[in-house]
Amino acid sequence: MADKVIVTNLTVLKQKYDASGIKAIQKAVSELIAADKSRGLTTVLVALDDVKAMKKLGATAVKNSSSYRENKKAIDGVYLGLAPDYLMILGAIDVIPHQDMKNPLFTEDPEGDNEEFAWGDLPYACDAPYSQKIVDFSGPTRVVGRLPDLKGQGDSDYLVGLLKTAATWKASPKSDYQRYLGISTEKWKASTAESLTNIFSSSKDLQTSPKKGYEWKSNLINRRMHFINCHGGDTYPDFLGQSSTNNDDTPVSHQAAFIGKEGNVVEGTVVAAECCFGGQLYDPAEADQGQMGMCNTYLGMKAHGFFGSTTTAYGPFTGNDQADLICQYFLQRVLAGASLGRAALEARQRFVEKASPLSPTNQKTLAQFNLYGDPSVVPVATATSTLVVAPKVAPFGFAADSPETSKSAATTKALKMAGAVERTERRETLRAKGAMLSGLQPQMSKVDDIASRQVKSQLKKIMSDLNFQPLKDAFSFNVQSKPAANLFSMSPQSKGVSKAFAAKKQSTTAFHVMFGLPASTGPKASPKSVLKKMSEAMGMAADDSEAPKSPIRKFVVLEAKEVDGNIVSIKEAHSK
Amino acid sequence: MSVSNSAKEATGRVTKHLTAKGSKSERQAVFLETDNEGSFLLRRRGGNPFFDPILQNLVGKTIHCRGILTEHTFIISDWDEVKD
Repeated sequence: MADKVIVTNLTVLKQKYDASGIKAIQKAVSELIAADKSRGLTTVLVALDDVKAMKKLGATAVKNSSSYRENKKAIDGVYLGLAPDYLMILGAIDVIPHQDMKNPLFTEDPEGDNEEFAWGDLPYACDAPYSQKIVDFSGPTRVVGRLPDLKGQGDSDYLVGLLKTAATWKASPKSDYQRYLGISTEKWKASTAESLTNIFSSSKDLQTSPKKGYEWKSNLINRRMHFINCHGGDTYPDFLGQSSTNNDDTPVSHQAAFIGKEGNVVEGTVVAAECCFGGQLYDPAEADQGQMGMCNTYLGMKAHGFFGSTTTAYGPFTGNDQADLICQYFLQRVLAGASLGRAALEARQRFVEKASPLSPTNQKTLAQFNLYGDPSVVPVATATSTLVVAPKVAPFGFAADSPETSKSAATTKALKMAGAVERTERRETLRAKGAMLSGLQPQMSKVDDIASRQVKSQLKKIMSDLNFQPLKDAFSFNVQSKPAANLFSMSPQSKGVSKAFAAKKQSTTAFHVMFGLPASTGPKASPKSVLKKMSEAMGMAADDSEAPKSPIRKFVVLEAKEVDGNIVSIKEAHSK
Repeated sequence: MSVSNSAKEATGRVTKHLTAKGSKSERQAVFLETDNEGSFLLRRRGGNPFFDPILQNLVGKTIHCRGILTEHTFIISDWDEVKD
């Protein structure tokens, strides 16, 4: 058994790096293992391609390093063999690939979402076997992070640097993480302000682009929490703003080259980036001036963690949903004192809990966001009332102001044991929660076009009320609800109550997705009257707070939830 | 992304239309429409992926271009206009 497992593929690393590079990486891994030991973690390195070592664990070695199925099976085998509290993937996607989950929104319509896959590490965080269906991974249970080297590059100094940061981290007081750099497109200002308020209880420091960015002054860029809600692009290092009045005005809001300058990022920075492709690990040789991606750049400048998306992301421009939620959940947990890996796991679980049953856009969101960084790093030191019994009674927790060296060996041992017990108990709870979420998630099957005439005409009517013309592109997902999961033993009273609730339960039976373009003629319906009509159509009370507000919105995607033939709610996942 | 990128040359007509609708990347983007290979989302190496005036100027023209084809984008390094 081990507390932390580092998995990699040595054959691939040896192809990427020369002998001296491999030696330097091995030394840095050994130093990380030693540093973990001093923190009370037993860490082991497992090469997924090492037949002998894998056999010893009862796992199957990877023969083809680019096989998604083989990598998933190998990591599952390692997990079963060692039951670690932390799993760290060492290397970029050319060492151990992201998994190839099918994007449920994929369409060949050039105007739609043309991404066939929602790449990510989510399946490595789940016990479910290899699959391309995202819903099969709706019950994450494992604490997983990836420490990526540079895709396609043989620069061992970069990876050695990341390993050194992982070996030398120290938790800091919460106050160090309560001030933030928050960047938003001007267009998404309202949504970003809401996210920042949810995380930091204030949005007063929100920076919007245009006009601000990208050469942030040191009093902003030196803050340790970065929350970014901007545009990003495929194989593109920078993030972009967007004017609220001119969609084509998209200046650089956050520049990777600026982040990569010495002194601009403080060691220990933690980033959540909602941006499309914000967490894409591309080969720097393919970008302008060889600039590595934003995620690699931050980690190279000793950021502790980066939470970002591999592909095109979703979210509203007012209110919070999809990418807004999963990113803010991550930072909330970091701020609460979780390790980076646990923060990512808890963010995923909370997202599934909030968004269940997972609509197509929510499925993609769950799949595409990943943690980059050592999952065992705990950025925020939290005060605790727990005392550990040692030769001297000592407060338990990551104390920022009392280095390990100031304690006696016996006290240190007692603290480590108490830490291990607390961690094990937390993992048990998270495993149970993941299993419950997985058990509750219904299966879904995609159907081209919307079969029900009634639903189609209802959606068309709402489109018309919004002054949009529906496009031909529309599809449905039939939802097959499972009976309530019987995960725990129940008293006769609880069984009876569960039965009663099951009898009155109204489950989602389908999701429908329809795209629309603005009608070329006719007066614009006012937001309030549109909302009123929508609410009337659905037999609901109008809620003014959700009234569409933007005068420049051009396109809409309606995602409707159906229960037994009736549309009960509609979301606009649109126009970012 | 886990799919290998490759060097590419292609000839086609440059067009502009909506892409990634409903997502955070929804925009009017520039495409290369080829006769035999379908359509590619175009970006100029170093160019703004959302609005690049240099690519905008090519809309309506036929070009022969060279660059890298990623899973989602044809990132072009250079091109020549082809007179119709």
